[in-house]
Amino acid sequence: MVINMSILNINAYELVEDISNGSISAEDFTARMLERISKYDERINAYITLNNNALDRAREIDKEVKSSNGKIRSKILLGVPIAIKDNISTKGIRTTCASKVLEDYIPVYDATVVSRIKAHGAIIIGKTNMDEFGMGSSTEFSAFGVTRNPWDTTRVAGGSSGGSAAALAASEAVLALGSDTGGSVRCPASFCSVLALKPTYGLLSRYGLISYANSLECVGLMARSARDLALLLTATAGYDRYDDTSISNDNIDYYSNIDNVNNFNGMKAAVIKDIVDNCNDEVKKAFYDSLDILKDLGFMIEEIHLESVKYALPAYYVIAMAEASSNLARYDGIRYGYTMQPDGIAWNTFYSMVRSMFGDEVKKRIMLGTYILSSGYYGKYYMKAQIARALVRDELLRVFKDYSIIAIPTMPIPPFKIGERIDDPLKLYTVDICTILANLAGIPALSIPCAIHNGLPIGLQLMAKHLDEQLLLCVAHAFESIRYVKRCVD
Amino acid sequence: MPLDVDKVKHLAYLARISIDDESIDLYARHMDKVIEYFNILDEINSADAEPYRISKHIEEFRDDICIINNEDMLRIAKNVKERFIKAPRIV
Repeated sequence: MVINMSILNINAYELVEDISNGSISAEDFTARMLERISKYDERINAYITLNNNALDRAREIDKEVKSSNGKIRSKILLGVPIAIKDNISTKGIRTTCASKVLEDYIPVYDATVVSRIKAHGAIIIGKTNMDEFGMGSSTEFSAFGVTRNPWDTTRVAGGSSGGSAAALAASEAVLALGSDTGGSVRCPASFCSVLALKPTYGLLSRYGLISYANSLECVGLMARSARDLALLLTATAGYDRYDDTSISNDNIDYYSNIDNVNNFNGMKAAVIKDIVDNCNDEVKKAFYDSLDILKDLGFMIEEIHLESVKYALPAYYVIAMAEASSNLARYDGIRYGYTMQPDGIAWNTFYSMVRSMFGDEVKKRIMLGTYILSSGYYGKYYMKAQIARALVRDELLRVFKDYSIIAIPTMPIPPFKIGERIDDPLKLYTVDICTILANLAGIPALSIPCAIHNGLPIGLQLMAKHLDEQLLLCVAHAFESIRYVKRCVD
Repeated sequence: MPLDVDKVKHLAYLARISIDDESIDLYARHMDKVIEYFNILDEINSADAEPYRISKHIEEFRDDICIINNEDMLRIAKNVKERFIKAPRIV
């Protein structure tokens, strides 16, 4: 069957329907997607590794469909090509974290989120580029090259899940997994005009997610529609016995419930003035236009002030760097990853030389984390950051007593030029100001495209209280039915 | 107290990361700038709140069995001899 390239922009829920009823062949679709990647990806560098078994898996799915007589309906991601960020373990498929230290590492197990999507019939297309170990907001800190924004290849795709977002915008995947420590799915989603959901901490298992800052990070979901996000969340969410921080969600079917609420009369949305005031003019305009749409949906909009916002970004980076210094201590060249012949070398020398293979940004963050946790500085930085974090969480929870959602821009600026912010660490860190609040408090946050200005995408961010993903998905679904912003480049 | 080159060398030793001499000045400048930025946290009073904690009641422990195959793990290590992994001299 001949498939138009434009069908590669299809939504996952539509593709599943078409594959399940036999009107589209999984093999044909996957082959077309791989063809697209082979022709286009050199322009954007979204992928580090492609899955050699993708077509075989697609053929197996077509056979399952033929022999199933309709029983295949339980597999809600049937035949959907999914891109997976390269810090999520995939058994038998190289997983590098975009680092020379793991350049040839092949995991012997699947992350739980990967097992779950595979059980639902998804096809892993490949592993996507990222900032090394998740440390960055632009996918410029990768040992495998920069990922370019499909909307303007002189600009960044955002980070650290830049490859996943760029793949979706370039029709090189239908769904994508990323990870979000301080905005790492929401930032690239905003920059590439796709959607992203950072779930409540613990809702998606972190088993198999290679750690950077384990009290802050979550597996994040990326898609081109709210329905698709809901589908992916339904397939992946819920308690996992292999992750002691994971929590139950009572098997909520987010996908089936997404049409349940489309009128939000009586609900209040809070706008954090301290954050919006620090965004640039294009972002502010797009944001205020989006507020008009929320009003049309029935929300009452009120501006609020949060005392703890000014401490949020430094607190985030202190905690993230401290945890990184601990989590990356395991890269010692013994059990996996980059190594050398140990004969005749003392332990300290060996360990230090293996770890010299980290990129500059990773090294700086490890050393800063070491400093922050060291005697004499632990109380000044780390403990104060944890207190600031508690203040942020408490203030946000108080907000949610009176407001159903918080609305702010996802990013304070549109996508910036490659190389523009790479020489000044603070210039890069400050772009995270809108996104880190959700990670500090553990609450869910969603980014949805709200405008394209001068050819550059801008995202709207919605946050809710813990475990209120359904509300965020319903609002996003209603929003995009009024304001649908283009998701894919031509 | 600024983060100078000597301090960065010491941190590199503590973190067991080898850094070449050409990079140390740049690292020191960047890291000092970042630490300076963090100093805003001095405004926070320790009595303002209890430090953030994640706590969760664990009702059920999984069985104490190995869930990853040892053979697979040995296969991905590089300096393997029989069922051992060779490491550099520690003592």
